[in-house]
Amino acid sequence: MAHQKITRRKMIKNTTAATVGGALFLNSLPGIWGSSSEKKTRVVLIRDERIPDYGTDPDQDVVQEMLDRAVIELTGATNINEAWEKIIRPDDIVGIKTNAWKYLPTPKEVENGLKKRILKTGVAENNIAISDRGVRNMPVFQKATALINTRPMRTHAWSGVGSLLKNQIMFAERPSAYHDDACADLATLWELPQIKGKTRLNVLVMFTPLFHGVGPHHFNKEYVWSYKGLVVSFDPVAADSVGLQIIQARRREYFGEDRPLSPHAKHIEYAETRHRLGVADPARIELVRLGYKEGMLI
Amino acid sequence: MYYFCKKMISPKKDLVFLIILILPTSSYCMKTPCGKTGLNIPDTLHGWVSKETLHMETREALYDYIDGGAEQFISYGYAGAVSKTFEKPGEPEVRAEIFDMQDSKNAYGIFSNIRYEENAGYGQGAQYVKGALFFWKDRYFINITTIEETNETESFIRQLAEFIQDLIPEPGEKPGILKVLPIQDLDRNGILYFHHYIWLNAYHFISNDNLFFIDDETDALLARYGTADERSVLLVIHYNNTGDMEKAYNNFISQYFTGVLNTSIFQTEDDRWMGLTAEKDFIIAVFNGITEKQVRRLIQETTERIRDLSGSI
Repeated sequence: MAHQKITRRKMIKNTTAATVGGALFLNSLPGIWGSSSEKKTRVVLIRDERIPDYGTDPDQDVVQEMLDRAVIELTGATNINEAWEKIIRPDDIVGIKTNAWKYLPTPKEVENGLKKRILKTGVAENNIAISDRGVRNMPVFQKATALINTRPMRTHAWSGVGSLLKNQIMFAERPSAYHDDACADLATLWELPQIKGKTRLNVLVMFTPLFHGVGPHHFNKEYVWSYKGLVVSFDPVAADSVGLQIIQARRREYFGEDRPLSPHAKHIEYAETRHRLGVADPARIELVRLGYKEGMLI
Repeated sequence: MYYFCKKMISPKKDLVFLIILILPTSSYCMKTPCGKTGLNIPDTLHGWVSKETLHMETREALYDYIDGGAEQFISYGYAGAVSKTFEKPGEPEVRAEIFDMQDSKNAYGIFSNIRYEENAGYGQGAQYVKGALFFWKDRYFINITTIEETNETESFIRQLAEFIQDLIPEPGEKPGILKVLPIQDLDRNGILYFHHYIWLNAYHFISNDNLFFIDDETDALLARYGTADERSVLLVIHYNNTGDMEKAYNNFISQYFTGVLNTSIFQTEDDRWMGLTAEKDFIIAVFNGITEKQVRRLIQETTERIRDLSGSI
């Protein structure tokens, strides 16, 4: 029987995000990225087989090696010192925004690795702070000229995923004010004075990501896996987009079918389509894959 | 709630003295002698010692207690919760939480949202995942967890579950809208009841926007049919009245499709089949159908079940 197919409107979804005319990078430090809207956003995914399973601390040297390789690749520098000189100036006051969620915090080895390189650029130690919940009150964060944003990716009961975009929510006076519509407009956090134009680097930790949540606290060790990766980018939206694709791929692998995140992580696509903070569209992300290849999922 | 309180202090059950559960909800307790209390746990239970009891009586308290997950419970009518942590030398802690969801439909709803596979026999539906057991009974959702499962913690988790389920005297009613679901090929672990639009995409991405005007006044169901390789998703929404249904129906058509829709079963641009119709004050839709026949059957059976409904659901 002949029939006509019905066409649906594009109900924007992260993997088919509408293209906008070049994202507005708010985190300007001259020379890090070009101004051409045609240029793809670079994201570096680095993995290392030596990263252990959940519950065991990774080796500091391994983490440092991963961070260094990723940052060199991201900046196009020839060595690690040159790379960080493109990111941080000696007179910067630097806040490392970390994440303290008790089940899956930012590993201290990542925090230490970032701090070590920031110190190496000439920033005074008392001008560096690492915090999650204290960012509104700590003097270094209040005076910060530069931020480094780092957290593990995980599924989240209300925003779909706990992302780099969401990691800045502790800068808000009332975080719950950003919960509406499944945290759809988290990108507006990046307009807050304490954040705007300051985030120089984003490090999404995917050593042991959580790909499915269960119970009120949304955590069970059954649903973490050893991915052994870091996703590093100047663009938080692009890094989140890559992390999200990996989480979704793992869910397909585990459940044996496409199991959408619920709620859908709309805040990542809206960061591009509504707020033009960065690039969520995978077609406009240049993904550089380094290191361990098995089970890469992307 | 009054009956619940009476039952809890009945001398017939010694164990009831060990846990007195009266969860704080204004809607239930304002007219009853329940008052504003929480979960009272004995100092020792099966050799475990209580360490901490927390009462979450407001949304703000829940935000503080559940780092990141409070909104999920609030979207299902959360009214209050109590949490109790137990410890035993040489064993990881075990925590029991009881959430008062105001009515049994909501308790079923949050359970249907969280469970992946019903595989345990507690309350009116339960799942055990390594280190965690959760179930629902009447208007309560119960979650018992440990960070590290051992033989001891698993045993205590199950003892606690039995104990708490017995405290709740009667089962609650499931949402009436469940009656309209066709049985054939239904994935029993793939039924989601909700009344917040955020959950619309739980089984299949439909839209980021609330195209069906789903809110606390509507009852909505998603159900998975077929195997993983041939999965289709049925959506049924029940509105307060036909006028509200028609507004939502017309809004969905105008927002979701690019052209005029003049049939109820059709193929979409991705070669899948979709169905959309309305019956009484219900909207029925099928997404991601593999065959026209499959979609037609789901639409027809659901429609017939709605026609057969008598009284309110």
